[in-house]
Amino acid sequence: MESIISAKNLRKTFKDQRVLSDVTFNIKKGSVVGILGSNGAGKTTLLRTLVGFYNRDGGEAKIFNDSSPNLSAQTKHKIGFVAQESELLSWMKVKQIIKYTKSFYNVWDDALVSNLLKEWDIDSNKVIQKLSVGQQQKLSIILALAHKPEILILDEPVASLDPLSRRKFIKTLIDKNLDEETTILFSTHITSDLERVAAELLILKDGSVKFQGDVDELKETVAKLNIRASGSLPDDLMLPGQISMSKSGNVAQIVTEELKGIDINDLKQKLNADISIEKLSLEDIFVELHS
Amino acid sequence: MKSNLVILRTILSYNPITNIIGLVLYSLVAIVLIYSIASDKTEEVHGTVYFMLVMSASMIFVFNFSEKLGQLSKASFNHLLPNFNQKLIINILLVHLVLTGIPSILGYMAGLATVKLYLATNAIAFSVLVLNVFSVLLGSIWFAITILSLATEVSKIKKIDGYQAYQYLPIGQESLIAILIIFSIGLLLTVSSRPKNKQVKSKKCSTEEISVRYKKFELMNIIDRYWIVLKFKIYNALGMLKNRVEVALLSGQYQIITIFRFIIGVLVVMSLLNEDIKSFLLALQDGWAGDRNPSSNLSYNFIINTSIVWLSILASFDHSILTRFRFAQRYLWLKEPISGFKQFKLNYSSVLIKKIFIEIIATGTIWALMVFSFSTNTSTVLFLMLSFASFKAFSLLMGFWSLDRSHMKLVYFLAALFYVIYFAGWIFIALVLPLYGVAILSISIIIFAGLITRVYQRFMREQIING
Repeated sequence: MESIISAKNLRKTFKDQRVLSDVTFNIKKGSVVGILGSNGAGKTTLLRTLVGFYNRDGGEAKIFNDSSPNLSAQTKHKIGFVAQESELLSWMKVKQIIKYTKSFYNVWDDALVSNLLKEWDIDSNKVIQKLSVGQQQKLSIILALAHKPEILILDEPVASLDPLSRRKFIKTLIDKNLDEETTILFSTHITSDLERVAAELLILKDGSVKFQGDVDELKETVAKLNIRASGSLPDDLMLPGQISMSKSGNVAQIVTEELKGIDINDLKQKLNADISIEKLSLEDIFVELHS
Repeated sequence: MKSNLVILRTILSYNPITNIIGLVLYSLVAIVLIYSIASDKTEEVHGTVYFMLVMSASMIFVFNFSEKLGQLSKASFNHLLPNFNQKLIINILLVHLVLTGIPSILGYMAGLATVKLYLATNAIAFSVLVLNVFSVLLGSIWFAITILSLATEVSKIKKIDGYQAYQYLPIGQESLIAILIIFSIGLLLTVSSRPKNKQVKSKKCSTEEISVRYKKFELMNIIDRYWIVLKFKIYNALGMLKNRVEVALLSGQYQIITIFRFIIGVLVVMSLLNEDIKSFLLALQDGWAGDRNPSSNLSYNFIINTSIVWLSILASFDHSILTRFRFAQRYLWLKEPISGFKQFKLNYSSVLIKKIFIEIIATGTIWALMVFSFSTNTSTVLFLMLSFASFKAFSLLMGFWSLDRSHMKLVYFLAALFYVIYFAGWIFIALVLPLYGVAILSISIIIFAGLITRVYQRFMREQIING
């Protein structure tokens, strides 16, 4: 399948702080990709550089073969973007900003807008400034969805939403992805949402891509080995891809990111030990990778 | 940390470079002040001038400190700290004592003023400081109004024998000072317990209700919103919002420009109806012509005050339009069907240039009407019109520069410093022969225009879509 968002050796520096260093990835049409990373990992910078809010310092970032920030009008019309903090014309009423935003696009789904307004309990006669932070975020999401974009780029879109709204929003995303093959790229801290929606993960650490692949693939790769040996364990015990280890006498817990590269039976024999593999939750994996 | 100075120490350590530059600037103003007063034996009201300048000079620091003090006073967290409220009051009083209290005591001891003038200066400066901590915008407006009003009163004292400042008011000067002091103390107590009051008011509200309630009762927010909505409706009805950029340009920072436009509007109307404003403008004219007219009432302080007001108006407009322009760009980048980054920017720069030209024509016409009303001398008219152009060009240059540097605090401070230096240079030009003045101003406009073009090119090339 064709790749519609790509980055190659993408670099971005603010003054003397390098935020993105040689970020490389490809996102195929119709994928749902969640970007996961700790605070300051470069998630927002990556998304803003992709859509042209920041100039890149090096490398390449492309959307539909247009190089950022020089996006064509056609490409821009295919993008729906929601920023981390909703940027709306706060003095307008909800219905005014809908009318205003609609004037930019050739395609506009009025039914979707009115349905979501109703579902998310947003009064269209209300002034935006008087909406709560969560409601403003919901309105931003509605405006980003209404022109039926082929790509949705969302920077922590659910951070201000309550759990119920989050689930509704995620359902909307999944529906759009399934019905219209919308490509979705979003950043978040909420790992449970990622497990619920993301078919693919992009983990950023210190401005670089630490992992790109399926959530299931990640869970197959990163796991905890519980080792109980009959004798004492060697002092220099080190497994391939070892992230962390806690050892006490003949018992050890080792987290590795290269589970597939370890022959468990061979290890059992070498250490003369019982070894069980414990699957980690996405949150645990995230913590381990950043520990 | 039990020291009472902890708040000031925090502020001073926040931006040491800014404070050092401020200190140097303050010292320079103080030296120039003392020298000019000592050397000017002809000025009859030099005590008043001294005290007005002490107040103006202290404002260099007040505007630097007050924003930080305001931020600290608004933070709920601080009010959980033991004795924060008392420390805040002590620190505000200390700032006033160091910046205005001590210099004015020195002036008083040197025999430059009466007790009343000493008290009035301190009461006004203190009210500006406290109001600034409460709201920088309200403090700035109050400062501008006070200076303007005082300048008018001094003008009348000089022109009318036996005139007492503010004699047209139903209350005496002593009562005015007392009211100002009581108001300032009341405001100081309000400021020091601001978050505590908010917490009490919003005790039974949910988090969302609190945020809505705060927004609801913010006076400036209400004024802003109604103003912008009214403008939107009028423009729409007149068919003036022909493109979507115009709508986006309505947003952004509009508070300051709204208020300054209101002030200039009031000034223009009053100048047609009010004798006080007329006498102020006549005094201003006298000041410019004073060097060449022996019978004139020489009043350079009027030139200073008017120029400060003009610079504020022009600079606030330029800053407002440039900031709104940047916001509009960021807002519209993904929405507007324009291909390519360069084309997008080119498209918007034409809107920006159009807006600035309209504003120059509007304010230039008002200025020209004022100048022509009070002068028939061609060289003076030319000089004043060139002054306006020079102010405007300089203001634009500073506006572009500060935005180009992404709102860096130091850049803002340096811009303010350059305003002072430029302003001092302009006063110097005003003192030399008109022919030289015209020549120097013409050259400065050409230089500024060249610099604006250069900075503008850079501004357009920079990643200004990023806020």
